[in-house]
Amino acid sequence: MQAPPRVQLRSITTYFPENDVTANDAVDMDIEAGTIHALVGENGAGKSTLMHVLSGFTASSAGRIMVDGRTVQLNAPADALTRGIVMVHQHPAYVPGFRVWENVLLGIECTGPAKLLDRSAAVTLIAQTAARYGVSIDPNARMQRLAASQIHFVALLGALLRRPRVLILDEPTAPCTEPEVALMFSLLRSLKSEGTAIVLITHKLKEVMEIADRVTVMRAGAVVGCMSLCDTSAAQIAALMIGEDCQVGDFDRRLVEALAGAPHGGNTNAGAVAGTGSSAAGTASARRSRSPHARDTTLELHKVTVYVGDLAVLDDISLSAQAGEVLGVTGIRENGLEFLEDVLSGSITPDRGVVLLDGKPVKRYSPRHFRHIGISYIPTDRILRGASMDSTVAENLILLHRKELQTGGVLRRKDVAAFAEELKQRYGITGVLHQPMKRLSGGNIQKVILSRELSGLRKVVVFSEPSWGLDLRSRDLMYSEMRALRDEGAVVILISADIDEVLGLSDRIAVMYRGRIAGLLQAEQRTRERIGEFMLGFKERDITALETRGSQDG
Amino acid sequence: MAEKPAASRTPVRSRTPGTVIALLAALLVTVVLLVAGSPSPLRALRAFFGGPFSNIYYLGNMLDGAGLLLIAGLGVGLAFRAGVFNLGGDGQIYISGLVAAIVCLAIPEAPAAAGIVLATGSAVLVGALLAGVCGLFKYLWDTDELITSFLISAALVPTVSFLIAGPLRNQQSNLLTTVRIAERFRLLRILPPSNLNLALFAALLLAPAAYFLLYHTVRGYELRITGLNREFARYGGIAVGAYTVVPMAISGGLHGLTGAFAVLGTHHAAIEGFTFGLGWNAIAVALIGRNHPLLLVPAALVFAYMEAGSKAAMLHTEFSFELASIIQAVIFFMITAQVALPRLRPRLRRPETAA
Repeated sequence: MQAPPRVQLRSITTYFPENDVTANDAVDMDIEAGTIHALVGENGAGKSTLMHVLSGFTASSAGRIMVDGRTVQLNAPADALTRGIVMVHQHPAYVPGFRVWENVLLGIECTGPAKLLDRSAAVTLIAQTAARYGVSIDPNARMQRLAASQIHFVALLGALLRRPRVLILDEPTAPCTEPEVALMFSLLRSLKSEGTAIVLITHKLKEVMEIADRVTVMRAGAVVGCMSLCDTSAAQIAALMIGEDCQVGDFDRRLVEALAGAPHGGNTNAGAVAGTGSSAAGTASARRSRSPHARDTTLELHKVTVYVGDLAVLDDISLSAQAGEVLGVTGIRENGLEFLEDVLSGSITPDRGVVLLDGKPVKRYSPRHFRHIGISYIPTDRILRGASMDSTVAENLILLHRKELQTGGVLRRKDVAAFAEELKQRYGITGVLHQPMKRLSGGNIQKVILSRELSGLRKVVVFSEPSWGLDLRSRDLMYSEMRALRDEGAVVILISADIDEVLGLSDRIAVMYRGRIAGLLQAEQRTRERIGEFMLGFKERDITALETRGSQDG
Repeated sequence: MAEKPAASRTPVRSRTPGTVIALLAALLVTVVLLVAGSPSPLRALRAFFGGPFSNIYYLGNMLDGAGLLLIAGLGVGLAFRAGVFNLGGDGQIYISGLVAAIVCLAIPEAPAAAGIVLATGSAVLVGALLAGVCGLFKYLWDTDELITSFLISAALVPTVSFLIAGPLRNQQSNLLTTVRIAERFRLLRILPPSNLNLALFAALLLAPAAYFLLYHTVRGYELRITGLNREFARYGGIAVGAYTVVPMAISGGLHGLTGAFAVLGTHHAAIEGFTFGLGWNAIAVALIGRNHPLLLVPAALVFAYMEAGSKAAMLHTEFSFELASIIQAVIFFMITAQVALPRLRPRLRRPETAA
């Protein structure tokens, strides 16, 4: 007789009466020890909710949870933790002022004599655990200094210290660069060999194909498929996720193929996505009025330098982008992408150099002024910068249009509601408009931000890591919006550490390395390999000639 | 199909029942103190709970107190909503009241309307300047407005007391007070012989006005967004600097108005220590009412009732002044502890649920 699966979920139903939503509808799922079990589905399909039930964060309305064949009651996260069920959230919570070791130990403090925190023991323990799994992280670093991917690793370390028997990861690779993904996967494989059951929530089918042993597909709160990876294909999983009842457009299919791991020749990939420009033209014509004079818009960075202490985090950056093109900027995190994002959104003032819009230097570096002159911006940090989690969804949606929705300083309630409803419908935001933003899933939060930033008159749109946590359909919608913007004559700047995304969407690609532009690649010369070489700093700055040629072309 | 993020599981267990529990706990402690601390517990209980309604004088004074608490509470709440803290309310009320009295005494022959408008206007202006300057310091140098407003106020209180007891003292009175203001500047009394006057109506108009400002106007929207997430407000092109200075100034202005009404309506003179902690109690009222302008109305009434009750118990029984003070302290403590703690350390909340 075989041992029972480590976790069995039976008829789990989760109903939220406050917004009349059934997030899980009689879901069954078995999680075996020593396997990596992928859980996939579109935004709002109920994946995170199901795992919140298993980890004790959310109470289910009905159903049974069995651990090692015995029924258990999980009323609080602590109940799940005592049974070895540990979840790392999509946006791990942390205390910004704390150091890494303090965050990791929250709740499992090592205490020395007199119940005082034993700092050196804690630091050693964390360093050992990190070394065992090949993670390099300074236990004494302050949390707010870490990149988003490092925060995920810190959260993961915290989970590992609890010696999990069931480890649940909610989109752990979303903010990671490729080497970090590789590191995380090797970590997961060694955990698996130690017998841990791992649940991996992800949107990236490529990752599912690479690492998972089993996959469960959810749609609209129900499980629509559960297969062993050897019996299925990426195309089949994608079809299950999207659902046969929905129209899968040409674009969807190509995108599915691309994401499902079509050969990474770069050009094939780019061709697949670029070839669908025509489908976006339809939406473009409907909103032609959006940027009437934008044909001649240019955005230029001239010798922009930003220092943090003595270190030039942006070092003499000169870049220009013309109307009607998508300029991709990529690189490995910590090489200046985040500072470029801050300069382009007016959040920081360059120590040297200027940003020019239509050839004129911008007057002030403030987000307010940048908005005023027509620069729109989708930030990497959605929770702190892109949204107000305690405000309602509607209040988040109207941020940029508050001036148009008022008469004599008074907001027109009906127009506010209609405006919010229109954006909600257009982007398929799942959620209730008058509820707090924090009730939405990660993907839906991004949809709110996108719909807000892309509505209205925009000369320049800066996207920073726009597709983290988005499902295929939303990604498709966003990509076609991005191309529509370009076709209308807006300047689109895409900052992303995801090479495939940048390759697929950009007309030109700038690669950053250590605060400098290591390379600027034209359409015909770009391949994953060349970008990789520039990202890692193998080649540098043989590109000045190309850049001048590029601006002449434009 | 909305997936719920982890944090939503414990939304501070919705603050209303918590506030009610705190009020009930405060009441319970009050009853215990009354029973234990009074030689005639039944009379003390009856005086405490029934006292404020026993005659027109007590009822009117309670309502008058509630009106002043409401205006000052609105001042506290508006600043809270913008994410700034005006901790100098008591001093702002005190000095504004003195300013109103001085203006009235300086122009005893002026027409009634002109005098009232001028006195009230100067009081509002002084309050607005005192608090607004703390907002300005925060905007310019990032000083903590909670500390600056408290310190400025703390320095002003003894100064005002000195002026009232010294240069401006009415030598004919046994009290430490200024000369009484001219009859014509006094606000119309509603329930004589109590202190209740027209200021209550002003308070009852201000609450819905503040509600409208916060929830129906663009400025109110911007103010609330700034209060909930400054970074998001900045990112959305809201002038967050303005929402640091202006709400502080409005808050100070409302405290100034409270001071003016206390002098023109209630006391008719600037008496030494006439605020009796009004500015601090207004903070408790704002917390009970969750900084919602309309909820502040019942909050101010409940607080004024409990305050009047302890006074009545003191006057009518052998219940001592100290015990009455202890009761008020208990009420204040229970409510601020329950409502303020999660607010003062919001950052600790999320890791607690998710770790």
